[in-house]
Amino acid sequence: MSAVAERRASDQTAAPRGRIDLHRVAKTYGQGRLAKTVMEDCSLTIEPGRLNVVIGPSGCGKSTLLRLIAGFDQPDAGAVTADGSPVRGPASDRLMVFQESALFDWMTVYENVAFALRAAGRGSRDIAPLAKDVLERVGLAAFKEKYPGQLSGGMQRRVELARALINDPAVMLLDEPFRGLDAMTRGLMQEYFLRLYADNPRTVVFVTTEIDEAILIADRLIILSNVPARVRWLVEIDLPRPRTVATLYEDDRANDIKREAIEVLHEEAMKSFRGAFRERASKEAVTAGSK
Amino acid sequence: MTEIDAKALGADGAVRTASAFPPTPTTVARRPFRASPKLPLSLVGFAAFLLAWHLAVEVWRLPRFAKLPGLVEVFVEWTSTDPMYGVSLFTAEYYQHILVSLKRIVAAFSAATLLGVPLGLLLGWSQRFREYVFPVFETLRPVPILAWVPISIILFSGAETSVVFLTFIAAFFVTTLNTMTGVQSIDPSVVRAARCLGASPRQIFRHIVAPGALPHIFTGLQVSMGVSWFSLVAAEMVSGEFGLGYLINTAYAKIQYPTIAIGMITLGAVGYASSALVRLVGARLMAWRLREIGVGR
Ligand SMILES: Nc1ncnc2c1ncn2[C@@H]1O[C@H](COP(=O)(O)OP(=O)(O)O)[C@@H](O)[C@H]1O
Ligand SMILES: [Mg+2]
Repeated sequence: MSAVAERRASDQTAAPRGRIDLHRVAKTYGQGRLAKTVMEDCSLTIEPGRLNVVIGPSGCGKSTLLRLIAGFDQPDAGAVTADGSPVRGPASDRLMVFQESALFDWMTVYENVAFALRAAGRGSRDIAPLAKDVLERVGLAAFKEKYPGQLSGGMQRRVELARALINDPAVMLLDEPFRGLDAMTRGLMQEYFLRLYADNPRTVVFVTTEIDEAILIADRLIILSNVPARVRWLVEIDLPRPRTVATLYEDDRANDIKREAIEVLHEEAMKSFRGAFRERASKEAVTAGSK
Repeated sequence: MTEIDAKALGADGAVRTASAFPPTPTTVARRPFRASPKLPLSLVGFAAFLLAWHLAVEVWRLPRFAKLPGLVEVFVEWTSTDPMYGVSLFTAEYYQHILVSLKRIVAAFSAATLLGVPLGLLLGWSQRFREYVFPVFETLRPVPILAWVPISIILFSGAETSVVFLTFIAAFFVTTLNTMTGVQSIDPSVVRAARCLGASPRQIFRHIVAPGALPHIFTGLQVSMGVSWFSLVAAEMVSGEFGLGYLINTAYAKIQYPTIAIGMITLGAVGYASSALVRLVGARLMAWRLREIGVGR
């Protein structure tokens, strides 16, 4: 148990790790006529020790951004650096929680969490107390012998959070972690996540498509443009904590931010439609000219 | 929280498992029915089959069926202490045939599993290895088992080894291919998640790839068990002394028709039991799958 206490203490005293910089990053998928430029000349900074929320129209490259930060993909141009050194591949201090569930179905809740410890090279004597501690923190101690398939969607997400937290990564990358949950569970998970975060602060990049969720959670809100992704608008969410959906509803500042963010998002989302119209119009012009 | 979670369980659990299993929201209440095989219904099925056999051969004497051994004739021969053609439940020879066939199956099936599963895991895991080996594999796989007979006889002196070899060959291809498919069916984000957690390639292979492929491996092993019996009997008919295939073939040559039926029924029973055994081992190793759909606890 003392190992856990020590680790938590060091969390609070050490300077925040996990600054991420993207410098003029470009990323294109596919080749030739199928090539799709998802990012172009994209520069942004993820501030260490804060909750950075990334929001943008669907398909704009949010997951791509996380994959680049995690090191699963390499940029075609520009650079991604973590605490000053270039990201060359996945590392256990930058932990990604995937958009789709990625629990190991053949392991119990406890084994899922313990696997993370073993993968990080922990001695077998540490594993039991650390796993027990993290499962208590996410309120799943009573479910440790269950298999993921036996849990509800909300509980599965909490197991993923536990598994992500247990090795104390400097950076946590969360790709729409609450997508697919019903509204009620989602609200509870958001509150839950904020409480968990308050006890375990670190650098977080949280991707979402829900503006309410973004404002509820964020220290810093990054709105991406339509594809190819660039930072379109960046705003400090300096609202007091703890926040709840109810307090934000009545908060003028929160509503101002929300209104402005929705306008920007709407404008960006419309671009993909307008882009399509323009393309069609120009094609029609070409065919008309050739007649 | 738990109340909400419990509510979400139904809808969400059903969605998650819909691809592999039909949703079974009420399995807990209906468990006694599901847990026991549907014995009464299967008995009706058996009874109908036996009745049809009896009627076609011995009662109605349908044109082409008249020469076949009848149900009563076979039953009398099978349970006789002094069988007309020398093989019944009360003769040592009967059990010797079963035992010899079983030994060959165990040898061939074990060898096919011990070689096929690791090979399949490697084929699925390493693209490099697959590029070298898979084309050869795919060229050899369609060669029918009977086409292997001459080679196996030339290769191995003595009938015994060549019979086991032929049985092995068929099972080996099935097991390997299914294992490879199993590895390839693993969700890439699960492997990525493990990499993200810092797992070494060794750990990923042992704890993610192998168990993740297990459902496909066991599907393969069941098919492989069936294919083993199939090729064993073919091989025993071609070359071999003793064994159920040999028994059937010699009974045919000696016009001992009831013995043919005894051999076939025995093959069916032993084959069924061996597949059931594979299923049982699979269910033991994949408790997580059963629990996922709510059967068993
Ligand atoms: N591996 C890939 N190959 C080809 N296209 C891809 C790939 N990954 C993403 N894309 C494309 O890049 C765009 C952005 O994808 P993604 O980053 O997943 O968006 P988001 O997460 O914001 O919805 C999409 O149009 C998608 O089709
Ligand atoms: Mg995405």
